[in-house]
Amino acid sequence: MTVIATSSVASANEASQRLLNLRLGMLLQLTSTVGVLTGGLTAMVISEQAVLRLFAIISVVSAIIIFSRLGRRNVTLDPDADPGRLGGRFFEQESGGVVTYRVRRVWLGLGVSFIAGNLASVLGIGGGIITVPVLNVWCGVPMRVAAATSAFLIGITAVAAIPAYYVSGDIVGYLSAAAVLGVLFGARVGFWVGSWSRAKWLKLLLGVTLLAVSAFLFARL
Amino acid sequence: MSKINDTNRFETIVSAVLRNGMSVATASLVIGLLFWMFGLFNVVSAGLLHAGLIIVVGMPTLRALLAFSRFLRAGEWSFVAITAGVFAMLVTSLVLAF
Repeated sequence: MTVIATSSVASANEASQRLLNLRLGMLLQLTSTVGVLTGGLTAMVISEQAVLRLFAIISVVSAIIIFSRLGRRNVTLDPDADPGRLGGRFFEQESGGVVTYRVRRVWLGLGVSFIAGNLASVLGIGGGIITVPVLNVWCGVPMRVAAATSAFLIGITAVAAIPAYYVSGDIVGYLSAAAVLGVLFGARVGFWVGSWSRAKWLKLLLGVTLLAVSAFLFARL
Repeated sequence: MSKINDTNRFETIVSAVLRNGMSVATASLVIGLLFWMFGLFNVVSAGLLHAGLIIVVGMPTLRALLAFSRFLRAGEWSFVAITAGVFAMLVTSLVLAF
């Protein structure tokens, strides 16, 4: 529910909607939803602890890669540059103009979306913590666009997982409501911070968050 | 790109729902939670909580519907097919759950 709430706030946020890459988001949604629907199979083959361990390792690797590429930008300042079929343009305050980006290695994005969807189904997490670094580092997607597109992606991915939880009575009304209200507040603060932060600082924040998540998981395993 | 950002009547309505839906959901959740905390109107409280949660769940789906409409109007058939595929899987997950 909290994952969907993050996505819902993004759907209502105009700045986020301007950054969202609909074509890329919908394409990645295909494999992500397949990932959710096959999550039950993964749970049968691999133990939850093994999945958590894998997630912790992926988080550390993603953090290291993000730290090694902090200063690298995925955008060109030429607003007339060809963004290709999946790329796009947006106004960036940091650069003071319209910037263009191209999407590379779509197959990698599709693969990671499948894994993110699968993890979402098995562990109940959003998966954005994996898709955002991969889209940013390897697929050429700017940080803010990756975050907005991932917010769109995880919302629908979680919608695919929700009916099973709802029917089995695992969603407790007042607990979900309290958690969702917390997310609504946190997501708004996030949009506010994201609107004036430099891309470099956002990457640093993501890297630190990934390290913290993996440290927490390793401590529990 | 420009065609994707044009809007028609359906899309204007959906955009308005997306803009205001979260305020309605937040109000519904806050009131429902307050009723629950003070043990008031149990049925109303449960109704408000679930209504708020259903709106929250519906928002990303509505956003995807908006995308479908825009792809359709722009004649981007490959993306129309992709979006239709995603919706088909969402329906599948709903059917599997029951």
